[in-house]
Amino acid sequence: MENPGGPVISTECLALLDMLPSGIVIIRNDFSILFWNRCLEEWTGIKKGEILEKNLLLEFPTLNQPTVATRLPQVFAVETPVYLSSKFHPHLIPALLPDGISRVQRGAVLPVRLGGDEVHAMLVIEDVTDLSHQITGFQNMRDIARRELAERKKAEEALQIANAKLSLFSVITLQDIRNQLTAARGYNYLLSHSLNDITEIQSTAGKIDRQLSLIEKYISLMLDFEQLGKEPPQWYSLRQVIKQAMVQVQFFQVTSGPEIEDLRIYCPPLLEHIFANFLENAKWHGKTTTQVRISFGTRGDTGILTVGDDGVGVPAQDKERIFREGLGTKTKLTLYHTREVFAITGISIRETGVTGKGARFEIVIPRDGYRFMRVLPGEKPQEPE
Amino acid sequence: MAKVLIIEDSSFQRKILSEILTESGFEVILTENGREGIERTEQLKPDLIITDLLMPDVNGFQVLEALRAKKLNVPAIIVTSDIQKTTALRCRDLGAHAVLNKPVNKDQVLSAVRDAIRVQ
Amino acid sequence: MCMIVDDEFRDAITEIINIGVGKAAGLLNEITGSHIQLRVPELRLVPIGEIADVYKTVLGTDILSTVMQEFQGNFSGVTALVFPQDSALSLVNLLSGDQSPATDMDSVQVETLKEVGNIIINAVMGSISNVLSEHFSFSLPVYYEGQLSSIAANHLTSEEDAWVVIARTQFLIESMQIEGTILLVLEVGSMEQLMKSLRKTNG
Repeated sequence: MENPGGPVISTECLALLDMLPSGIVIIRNDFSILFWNRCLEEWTGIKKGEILEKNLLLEFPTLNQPTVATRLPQVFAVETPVYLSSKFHPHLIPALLPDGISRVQRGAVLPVRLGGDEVHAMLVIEDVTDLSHQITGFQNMRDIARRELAERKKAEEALQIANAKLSLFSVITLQDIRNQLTAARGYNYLLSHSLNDITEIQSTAGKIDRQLSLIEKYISLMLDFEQLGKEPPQWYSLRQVIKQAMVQVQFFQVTSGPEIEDLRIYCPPLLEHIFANFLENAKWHGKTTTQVRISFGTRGDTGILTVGDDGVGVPAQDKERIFREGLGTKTKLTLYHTREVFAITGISIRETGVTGKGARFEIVIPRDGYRFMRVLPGEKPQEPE
Repeated sequence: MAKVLIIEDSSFQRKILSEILTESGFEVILTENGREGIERTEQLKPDLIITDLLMPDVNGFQVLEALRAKKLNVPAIIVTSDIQKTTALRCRDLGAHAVLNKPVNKDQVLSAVRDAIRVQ
Repeated sequence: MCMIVDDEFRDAITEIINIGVGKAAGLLNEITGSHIQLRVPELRLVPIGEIADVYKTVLGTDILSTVMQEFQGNFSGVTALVFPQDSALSLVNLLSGDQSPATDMDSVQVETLKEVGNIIINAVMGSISNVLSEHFSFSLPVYYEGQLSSIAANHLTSEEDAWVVIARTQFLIESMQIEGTILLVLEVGSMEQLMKSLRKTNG
């Protein structure tokens, strides 16, 4: 019975193989090279004369890995063909394109005979660089589209939460406006009906002015809160936010770690006001504050942003109370608002300082809420380009 | 005559091992599963056990664990189709004297058997 | 045609396939760096005319990813490795370290699956070749996708008297369970040759 083994390759066939646009090398069962075609000469710059009789696996360590080297003996022993995908073996015989990019390859090893009974192995290598790059390109585009879709969805959900919170903030501030208007009306009545003395008239006019001023500040705060319901969360450069807050509060004794430089956090609008609030609290409530320090670290995957000062700190019994609604001035964002706004994008805050040694706010940011980058594609630049 | 107990669910494999050993003068006891293998070991106290790894119900690892737990001081040789180094390491950690990969050949089996019995 | 396919034959084929799968697991172990936990394969021998019923119970009617290689020798046929498509995708992603979810195979993933299929098919056929001292020639692996009924009708065989050996194997890689089915489709006369070869080896 005829031995069913691999095809017999004649000299004419070898001449044909020499011309083919795929890399072809034929080896003996000791991996010594018998045939090296022109395509491989062109790809590698190695001429036939230089490579024949050399050991293929020693000359090309990329082939001397378990998933290739342990399978090659099968070709000789059992005469099974071996298929080598571009995923696991992208550079079977390393070769560069004219522009310097490495060729991406895939291959097959086939049993052949060159006359006689001895089985040889023929490694046929195709260049699939273009196809591989196209597929990688499509995959990247697909991944970007998926990521953008996920971000859009996240922003929409956050906007819904923000709108719910917005109505809560508005109620508080509208009531306060009503109170101020009532007081202003009262003073106005006094002015028109009861007061005769010029000093008293001037004093009452001043009080009305103060009520009107308060109303103006409430409206300003309401307009700020309106942003929450209109603008979705974005990636903010923390360095830029801190800078703006320092200017707003006119407090410049702020230091930050080098990790803050490229840090972005995903947050609803009002981040500048939130940081301005931190600086103001440090300035007025810290009493002896000389500086504020801002730093960032991680606990597992979670980001921890710390804002600390060297003031008097927060007494133990007030650590949760400071986050309650109604506390502090109503003309500005308070820690209550800060906690609620942060919660829209899953950020939490608590005070962890030592009383007497300064306040320390720990802001906990989930993994998908922080990154380190200069500018993201599609992101509104927070700093001039 | 040394007694060798074989635990192997494949009749094909049992036949191969049995022929190799009986031709070389060993007394062979055949069992078809891990549970029976452990029971017969307790009753007959063979000089050596040869066991497959991948078997339904009680597998070869469990056989090795049982031998240890019951303090049956019988050397065991594993014969398996699983060629991973991690598998061989696990067998040795469980006290196997040797791990042979299928398909086994006569010289391999006899060498491992004689070595195990000699050590014992 | 009347042929008795006895337990001894079934047992021998199961064991030979076992040996092949064990060798394939060794190579997959090298690729992934993870231990591959193997299960005992379940074997069925079915005449090709009855395979329609087996499709539903064993392989289902979902889209399947198939890698196959033809072989010729004293007995001839096709060896195929069949995965449900989502299993194939998971396997390919796991082996290549890709994480992005996809719903269908791109050409690089197809190549990767072809290589995995080639590793497993070569190991199984290598085992048959070694144990039975048989010699074959093989084709390169090809990939097909679709329901098994159409793959079988168009690519496995057109012979009515062909037999199919179906071995369902399961392996666990990094706690992901991958279920693959090895089909050995034997052309007319090949089943008898295989049995003859086994009897000769078994003595």
